[in-house]
Amino acid sequence: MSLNRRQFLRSSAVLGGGLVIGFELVGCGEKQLAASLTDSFQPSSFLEITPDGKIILQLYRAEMGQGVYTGITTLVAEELEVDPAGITIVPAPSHPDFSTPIQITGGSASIKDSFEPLRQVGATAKAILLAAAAQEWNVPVDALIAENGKVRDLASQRETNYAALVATAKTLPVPQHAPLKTPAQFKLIGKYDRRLDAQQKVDGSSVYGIDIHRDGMVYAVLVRCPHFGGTLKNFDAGASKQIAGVSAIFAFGDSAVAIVANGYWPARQAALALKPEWDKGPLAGLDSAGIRRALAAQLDENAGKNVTDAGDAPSGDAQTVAADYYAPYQAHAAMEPLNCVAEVRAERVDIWTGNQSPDVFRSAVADALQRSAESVFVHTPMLGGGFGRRIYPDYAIEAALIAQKIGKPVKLMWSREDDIRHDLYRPASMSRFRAQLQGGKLVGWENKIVGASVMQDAIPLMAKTLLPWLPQRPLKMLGGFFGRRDSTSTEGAATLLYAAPRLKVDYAYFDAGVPVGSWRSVGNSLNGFFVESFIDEVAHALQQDPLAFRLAQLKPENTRARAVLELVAIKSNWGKLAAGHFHGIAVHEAFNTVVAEVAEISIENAQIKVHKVTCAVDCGRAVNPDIVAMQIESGVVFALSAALTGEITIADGAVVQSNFHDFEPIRMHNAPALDVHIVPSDAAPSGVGEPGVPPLAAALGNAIFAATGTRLRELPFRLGAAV
Amino acid sequence: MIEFELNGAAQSLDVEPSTPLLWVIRENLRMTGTKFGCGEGLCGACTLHIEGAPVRSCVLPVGAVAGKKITTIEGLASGVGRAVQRAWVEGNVPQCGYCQSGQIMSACALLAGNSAPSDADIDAAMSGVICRCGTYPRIRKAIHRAAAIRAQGDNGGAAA
Repeated sequence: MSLNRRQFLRSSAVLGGGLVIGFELVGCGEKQLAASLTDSFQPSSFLEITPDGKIILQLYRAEMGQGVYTGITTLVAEELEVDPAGITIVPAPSHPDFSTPIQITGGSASIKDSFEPLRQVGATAKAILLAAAAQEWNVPVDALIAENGKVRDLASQRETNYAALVATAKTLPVPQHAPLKTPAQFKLIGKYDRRLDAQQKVDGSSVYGIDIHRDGMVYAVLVRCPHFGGTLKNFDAGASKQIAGVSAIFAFGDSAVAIVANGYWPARQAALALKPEWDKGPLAGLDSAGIRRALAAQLDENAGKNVTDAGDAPSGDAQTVAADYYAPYQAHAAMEPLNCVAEVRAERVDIWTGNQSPDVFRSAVADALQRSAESVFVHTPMLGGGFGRRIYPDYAIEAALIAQKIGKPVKLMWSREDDIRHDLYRPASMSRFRAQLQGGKLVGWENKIVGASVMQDAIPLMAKTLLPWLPQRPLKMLGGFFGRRDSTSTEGAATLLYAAPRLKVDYAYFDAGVPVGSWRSVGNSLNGFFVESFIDEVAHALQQDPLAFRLAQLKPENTRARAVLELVAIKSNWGKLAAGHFHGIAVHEAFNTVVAEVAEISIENAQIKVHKVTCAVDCGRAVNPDIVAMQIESGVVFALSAALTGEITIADGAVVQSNFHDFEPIRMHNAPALDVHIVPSDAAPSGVGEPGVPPLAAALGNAIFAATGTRLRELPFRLGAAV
Repeated sequence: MIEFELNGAAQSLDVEPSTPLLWVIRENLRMTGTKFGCGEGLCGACTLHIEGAPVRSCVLPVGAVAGKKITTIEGLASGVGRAVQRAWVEGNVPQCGYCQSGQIMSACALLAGNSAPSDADIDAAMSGVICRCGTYPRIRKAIHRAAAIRAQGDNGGAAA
């Protein structure tokens, strides 16, 4: 059933960046995705069984390392009673049957959103296959069982494989609600740990966007104005034209020059030889120090919008603790630099690129080329990392426009320098706290957050995909409206895990002009650091153990937070340390998943050495437990780079950093040991792609305080930078 | 013409000698298992073997490999290679997987020269290859596992 587009508007969660699955994702719209063979059995757009028994699953979420390739397949295989490793997984195209209501991979939502619907896909197919066998053998369907890709008659032991039933199955009606297994019947869910994409990722056969080749393809790079908002005045291509293999050089948009060649290397050499002249634009002279001063001024002068206002200020005397926190811009820096292959023909446009949102890419490219979205096809390969960057279609628009102009298939490639300098960054932010303490407890908590809004730019994009008839101006206004109320800026801060009779949270929107976007866990990554560091300050002000204080101060209903704190304390040997080692703890809830982390550090030669991070996670039912562990590990290391080794700074309205020599990530030698423990749960799954990130910086900062007595209130942590 | 051996097959190519080997392999020879990550020899995604030694192919001009034997991830057929790939699969090492060709080629070079590497040896050999997905502890464990597989005289075959 295709979703009525008007129904999307009622879902504020869409416009707030969340995902809602308020309807049945059975994939049986009027224009069901066509089966690859017309004599296949196709009970829904998701699943096809060919007459020779091949089971083809349309994977409607992008595999970017987080494990959906395995997880979603596990759900279908469980109910269909087949080996997941035997299913052929193909990336789904952009199609209304896969929209929830946008076909997007993000928000740690893939398994959460798929848990029932994709099991239903498998169960529905199985029900029809059983009915087909019942019909062929003229027995009641209750006499039959499906197992290991076969249907068997329990009485006679007669059996047949699914392939043989395809012809009959095709003729039978699709039941509305095929029964799902009970958890006691699960054979795979909660147990299946074998990553289905591991083999191709160890033998070089996995295909990423950057690996795609099309006949007649040429290569393009863009030389972009490094100053945000700046423009191209002029360029001298004299030296660039001399590079063998270069076929075209032209101005692109108002702030870039395109170079087309017969390989990436000549295009790149020509780009380096180009002499462009830039108008630095509105952000000339803007630097990180200036942005920081502006954020601090906003904290003082901008009342912002009130987000939470609960309870009364404490009466009587209360001890006050106050602090300001700061975090700089952060880059995504996935290992596969951005790229896109585009082929523009009269009758259709094809885009091959790692992307997290095929329908956003499809509508954005259609818009840019001024043609119908129906004529644009997005092909999604494996992603060499996403982290939120690959939601934004800028690089696909670039490739499509160049391909349209030169009339050949084009592979647009971003260098690492392009990727670091033209990102959509985690916003630089400040957070001001004021807490009141009485009788050994937290009684009042005030928090004001200042920063840019990642929804400001995302809203027009998403809304355009959903409402393609909406012209530009209302879209920009929509973005502005949501920017000031951006709930992603206050997620993880607007409500607390802790009881505080008085809670006031405000958000002051401030845009420095640097492009911002969703960075793994979005506002949670900032607020997790800010809140769990400040709560630690409160604990120390009360001279209480940071773990004991948290447990005592948790709201009684936050039993999951209590459980992960207690588990991580046990598993990390909280309080029992080798000489010179120190612990820091933090807990955070993001995307309905609760994670507690303990960082164990020592200070060696004035350097922070992180020995181990122990984690406890409650994500509801863990479909593939080892993949859950991998994702928490991943979030920890990703957050650790941002906490310790890398930041993005601005000078003259441009990013200073350019490659991995000045934007350093964590490497093998400074990666800690990781130990993840999953709280057993029968609750519905709640996602793990992002929740490992938010607690890490605070756990580390709290350990640094334990080790040095110095509270570090800004990232990345630097010893000797006492605040 | 530049001539070299790639994964056991002779190659003879009319390419600019200053072109980095990475682009010759990826674009001229269409072998895309070796990856581009930074172009400056900083990230290790482009690591392949020249006469068994690990090399960052994005900063090595193809002219420098004339007459040499090159092995890429696609051509990994040694006992060490199979043990490493098996340990990687059994240990669920890859996430996005983009860095893993470089990780595996680096690990194979380490194990070919050192059959029982210590954690410090692993740090030294592997810190040149960046993983943004954070698979480092699993890589470390898989290297130890591959060493154990080799020590048992067991080279590969199906993952357990």
